[in-house]
Amino acid sequence: MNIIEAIKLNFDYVNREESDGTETVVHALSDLDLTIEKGSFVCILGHNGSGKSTFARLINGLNLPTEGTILVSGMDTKEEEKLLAIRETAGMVFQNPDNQIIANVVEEDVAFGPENMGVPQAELETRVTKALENVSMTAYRYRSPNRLSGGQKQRVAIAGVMAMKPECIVLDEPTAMLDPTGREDVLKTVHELNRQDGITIVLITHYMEEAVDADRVIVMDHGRVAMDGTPVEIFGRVEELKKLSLSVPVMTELAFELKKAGLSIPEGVLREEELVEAILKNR
Amino acid sequence: MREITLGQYYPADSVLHRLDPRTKLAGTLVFLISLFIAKGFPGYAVATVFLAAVIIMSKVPLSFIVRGLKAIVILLLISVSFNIFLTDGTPIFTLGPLKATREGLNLALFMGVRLIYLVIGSSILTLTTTPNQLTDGLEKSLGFLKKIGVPVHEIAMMMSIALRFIPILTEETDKIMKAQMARGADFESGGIIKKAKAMIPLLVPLFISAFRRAGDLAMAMEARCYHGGEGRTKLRPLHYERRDVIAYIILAVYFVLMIIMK
Repeated sequence: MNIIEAIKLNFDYVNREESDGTETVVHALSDLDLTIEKGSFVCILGHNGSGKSTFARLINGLNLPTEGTILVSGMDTKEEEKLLAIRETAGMVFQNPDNQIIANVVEEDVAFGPENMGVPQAELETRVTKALENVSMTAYRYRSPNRLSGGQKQRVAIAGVMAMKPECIVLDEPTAMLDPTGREDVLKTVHELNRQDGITIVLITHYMEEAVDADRVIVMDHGRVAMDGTPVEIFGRVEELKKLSLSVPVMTELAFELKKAGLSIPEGVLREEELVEAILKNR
Repeated sequence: MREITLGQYYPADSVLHRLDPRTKLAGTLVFLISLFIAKGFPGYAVATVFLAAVIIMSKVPLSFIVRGLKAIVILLLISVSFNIFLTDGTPIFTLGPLKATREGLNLALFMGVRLIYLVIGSSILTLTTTPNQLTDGLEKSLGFLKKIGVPVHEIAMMMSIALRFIPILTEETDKIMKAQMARGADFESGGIIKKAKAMIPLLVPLFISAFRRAGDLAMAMEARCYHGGEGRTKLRPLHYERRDVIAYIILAVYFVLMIIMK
């Protein structure tokens, strides 16, 4: 079953040049057809301006398509009365952890979404407790978000979405502003939510390493799907990725170079252990 | 910078801290009004006893409470001396051309005490209530204004968002300032005008960043189904407890007493 379905999706915006006032229409998405299966972990890659963030905002109904339709659990984002239900179904986590925390206490921020949905107070309590447990932030429940690290703030933001009991979470470059430890924590949390609670994850990123453990990798370029497949399939096509000015995970890159140098190494090496094994076989 | 505390909340575990913010707001208001009702010595005696009792109950050290008075020392001195020297009546002593009168001294004394009590009374509110509780309390107690079209929920939401962003923007100001100082900007020397001019390159990036943050935050709020105060529930709704009822009774008794004493 598909939770997100994009049909001939187009999104244009007008870019105004500051210096001379000329306006150019940018096609952020052009005729994008894409479906995302319920319960899957999908990673969307692409360089800046490939349309990946635009796509995320269209899922959540924050922007409306210029042309075409996007269905979330069968609901069209263009129908205004369904907007709240769509946002409940597909939650969203943004890049900057500071700019998406609203309340002054962690637990109140986590409760913000369900409060808006009008969830009764007794249930709010259980939802907040559960959501904070989900992201292992229970110990920080009564703290001020200002005292947390970037990774912790991002986990609070994820808990805020989890408390809305979504079927799907869209994360728009959630790790871009975090240090390595924070990135690892956030990724671990997201993978756990996918595995244990069956939440569909759409992770938008430009760190190739984060795509390694996904079920499916979609590479976007110029508002279209350029590549689509499992991580092994995608990262096996090193040269194609480079043409789209994307890098590949370090291990894949190393494997690719070693292979070029004459070693026998299989396609689609993604992890350190795999590469070590492949090299050892060459002795 | 992260430790910045707004207002002057003093964390402690006292009855006063645990009272509902609405009760404390009402209490402060009643106390302030009562100070203007009181005219003579007995009224002030009752107010003093009441205030002293509240201070003891609050468990806030006296030094913290007195600290709030620093801001009004000059105002206090001016109003007291004006009252002493400019009131007509029986003279006590003269200071050059100035003549101090008995009535003036009397008036000045009450005036001074009233001013001090006003400041202490409102300090107690902010010392025992977090800014968040205060916002909540204001939203709830001013709820009736919604009927005449005052956007009470929106104002309260703005206040609490402002509270959340003040430390973030302070930190950012600090960062921009250091970045500019590293490139030779001078924020310290010169007169007021030069200093004010030096602030312009600081304020422009700060404003741009604040607007960007506001845009991001609005989007994040919308993504989490925010659509105004309509149909919203609260995780921690304000509840009147028994202690609040008792506080209201004490307050009523105090107020009646003050009216009788005037």
